[in-house]
Amino acid sequence: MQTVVDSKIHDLETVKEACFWFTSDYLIDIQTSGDKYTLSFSLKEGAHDTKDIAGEFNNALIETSIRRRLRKETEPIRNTILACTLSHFINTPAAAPKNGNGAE
Amino acid sequence: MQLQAKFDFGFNSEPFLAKVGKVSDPDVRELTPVSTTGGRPLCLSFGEKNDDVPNSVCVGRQFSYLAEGDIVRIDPNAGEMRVVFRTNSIHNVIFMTERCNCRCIMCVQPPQNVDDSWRNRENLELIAALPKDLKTICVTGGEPTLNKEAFLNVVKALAEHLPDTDVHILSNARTFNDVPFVKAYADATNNRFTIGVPLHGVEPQAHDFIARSQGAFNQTINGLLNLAANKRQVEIRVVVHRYTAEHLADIAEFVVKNLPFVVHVAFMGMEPVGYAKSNFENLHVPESVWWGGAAQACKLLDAVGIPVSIYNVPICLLREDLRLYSRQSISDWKRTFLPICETCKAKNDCCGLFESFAGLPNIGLKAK
Amino acid sequence: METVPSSQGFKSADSFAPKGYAPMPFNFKRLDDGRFVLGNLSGDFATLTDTEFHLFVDGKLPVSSATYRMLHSKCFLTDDSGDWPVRLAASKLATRLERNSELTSLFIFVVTLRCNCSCQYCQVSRQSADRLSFDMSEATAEQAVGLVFSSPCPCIKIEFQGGETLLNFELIKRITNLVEARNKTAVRNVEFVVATNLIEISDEQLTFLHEHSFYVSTSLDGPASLHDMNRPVIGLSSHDAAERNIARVRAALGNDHVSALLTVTRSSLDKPREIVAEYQRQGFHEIFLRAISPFGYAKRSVGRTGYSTDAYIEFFKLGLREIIETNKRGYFMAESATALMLGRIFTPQNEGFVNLQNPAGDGMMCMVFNYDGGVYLSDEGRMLAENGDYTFRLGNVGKCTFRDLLTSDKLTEIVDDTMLEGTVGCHACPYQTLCGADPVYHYATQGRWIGNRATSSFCKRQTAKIEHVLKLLENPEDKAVLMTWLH
Repeated sequence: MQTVVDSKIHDLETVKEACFWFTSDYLIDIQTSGDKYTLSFSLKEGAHDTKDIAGEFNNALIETSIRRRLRKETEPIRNTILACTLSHFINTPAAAPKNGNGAE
Repeated sequence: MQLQAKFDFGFNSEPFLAKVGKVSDPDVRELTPVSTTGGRPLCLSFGEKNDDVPNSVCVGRQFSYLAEGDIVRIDPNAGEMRVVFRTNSIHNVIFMTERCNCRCIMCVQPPQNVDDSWRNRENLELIAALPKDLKTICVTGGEPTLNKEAFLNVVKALAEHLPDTDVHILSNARTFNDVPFVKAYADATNNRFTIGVPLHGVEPQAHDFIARSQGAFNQTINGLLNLAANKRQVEIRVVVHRYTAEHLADIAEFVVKNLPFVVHVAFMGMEPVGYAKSNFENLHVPESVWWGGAAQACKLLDAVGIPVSIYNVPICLLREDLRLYSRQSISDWKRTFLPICETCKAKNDCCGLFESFAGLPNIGLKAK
Repeated sequence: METVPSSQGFKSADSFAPKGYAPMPFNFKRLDDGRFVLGNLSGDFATLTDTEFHLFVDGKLPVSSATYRMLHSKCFLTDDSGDWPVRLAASKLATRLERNSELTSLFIFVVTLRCNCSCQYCQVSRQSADRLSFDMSEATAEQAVGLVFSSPCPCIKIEFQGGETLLNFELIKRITNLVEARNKTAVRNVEFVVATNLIEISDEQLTFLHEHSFYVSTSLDGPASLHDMNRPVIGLSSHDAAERNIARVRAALGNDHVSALLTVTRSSLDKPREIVAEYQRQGFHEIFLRAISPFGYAKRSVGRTGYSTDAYIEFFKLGLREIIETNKRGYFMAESATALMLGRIFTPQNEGFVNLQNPAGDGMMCMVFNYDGGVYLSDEGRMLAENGDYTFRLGNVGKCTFRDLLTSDKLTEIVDDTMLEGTVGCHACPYQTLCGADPVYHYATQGRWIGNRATSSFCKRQTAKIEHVLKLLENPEDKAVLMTWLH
């Protein structure tokens, strides 16, 4: 199966991330040419062929691009959550720094 | 049970607290002031006024329950007497203020915007006069922590004078949003202190609507987390009515996931006084509406080891599988039974009814 | 819309509605036709229809809708009501990681490789019962106990493994006594577990186990025909011996001090009902429908005992259904993997199961002392060594301190490499908090401990089990049973 992706809509990182789960059953080749990525999916030996693999891959691209957008948008809050989480550990007595010789 | 009344004391003075002495004559109670602001010894008489006895005041027989060690507040200028502590009761309170930062739609103590800071000094006097073997006391309001300094003084006094007493504080925990205040509370107290916090929902649109205060949920959750971080005990109280009845299982799941540190969860039937009374028609739902949700909630809390209780609902109004969670929750001075209860085998285990239910439409009690 | 009579000055619910919202961090995948499942790093889950999902991620979800309020309560979004979802998310994450921060709690002592059984799928590459050079020495045991008490963890579990542990009971006694002596000053919460096939156990051994409140973990593969086929012993039925001795152990130690582990082989696949019935017959209230591991003899005998992931998943579903129905008929029985999942869905706690931790539990939560003094980061890592692969050997009890072992370059690299947030596939998976890094499994099956999730049978199994349980929770009767498995 061959499918073409417009690089103005989905960048290469999105394409690669979307490809990942398909690598269980397919060997995937990506060629760049102008504003296009041409992807070739070839079924691995013994693997299960998906009906309408092109359609499935298209859905995967859309989901992946949503994921990537959300990742960027929520990065500041994620950092806040992590900082707040780690402060639980820094403020507890058990986390007080040991004396320098590291004796147990 | 009547706790206050008006009498002519025959003298003028600032209000003062007085303690009931040893009872030798069943018709007489001798009072000794425990305040620092004066007052004088008094003799309460249930029979005829005895002119030979100085400072004798005639009060009605409805006060014959007064026992040695009970404490009353006498306001001679206003001619008022109020019983503020009873040795034989497990339902004594330290009342901090009538002010509140919420206006819950089912509130039984509707907030008043008054300056009642006069209570602060009296509360400290009362605490100093309480017996050391007192098992439990409640600190309440309004919102008892609104005046942070007064509240801290009270908890410090309780920790100092009553080190063996369990203290139950009823607060919406919003002020515990303030981290230094939480630390000061933690420094002054120990795990004999539990804060009972109402939860009306699992997100602000539900909770703030019932509390009628924007930002309540956020502050309450932050307060709960701060208290837990400072290792102070909290419990959750959910008043069951139309707006919460169908969410009990969700609330339990929320507590188990987000507030696993709570020491207890109580699902409470409404007491029809205050706003709960004026809104009763709109708020009350038949108990059967929420049996299923309550059962799911109680089973979940039980499974993960969080103690759970159902308060203020007579046993006959609870489905069979919920009765093991029912508790004697109604304060003795406002509890009653109906004539139909006399033949009920479960009467001794039952919390009974709020006195305030008398006169309301039939709510479906039946003897078991 | 809720309103209360305005004569009381009540506001309508609308006035408490937010002005807009922002999503919080989360992962998602398609659950089935028409639905997405969302999971976040604080361990909350939600399912949305396609429509709801697209509205949500495009900022257009109606703010007073039940869906909005559900997502808000589960910390999938924030709005102008305040930072409480952020604080709750951090609190839940901190609770989970607290377990990891306590460091090693499970210490496995492989007291001998000698065995009196020849299980087809044996992971241990047992040696026959008369070779004493496969016993742990006293010196090794003492050094190992020293390492145990170097762990800062307040709760310690000492687990005896083998071979057949009871064949070296003298050493078990010695180690137990050493630990208890040290614990007089160390004052940890200590629990002892012994794993044994219960083919043979003496009254003296039972007395000792009772005196020290041991827990006994044994094997039960199913009814006698199945169990004996998997676990042959010359001259007797291992099933009958186990059954007899389970009763004796229960009498000596108490009913709740004995548990059984199941190993699912190809012969088990068509008998889920019979296996569950056997567990009920033997009075067990917990069963672990555990797939066979690709280690030791199991790898060599895979032609006879192995099976496809799909076949296992089918078995799991049938077995779980039978277990749920058993509960509905009035007999309490929990499936262990499912109970673990439920704990992670409904509570913020980390139960500490070593193979499903992120960061990896190998070494960090579990340490194995092999009979020869080798220190391994997990039991499976030890099993690879029996076949000559020492990849997961951290050091030696005589030569390393606890600090050396836990801060070793090797362990640091393994834990670093396998963190789920940095593993392709896992990085975007909503089930992250229900799953974990299993470096040894991936190394054994794929040759690299990082693990390629696209081709990993571990991932395929986990995903299938998780999605199956999430769907069961949508059925109120099944959910009512499943919730009783929480503790």
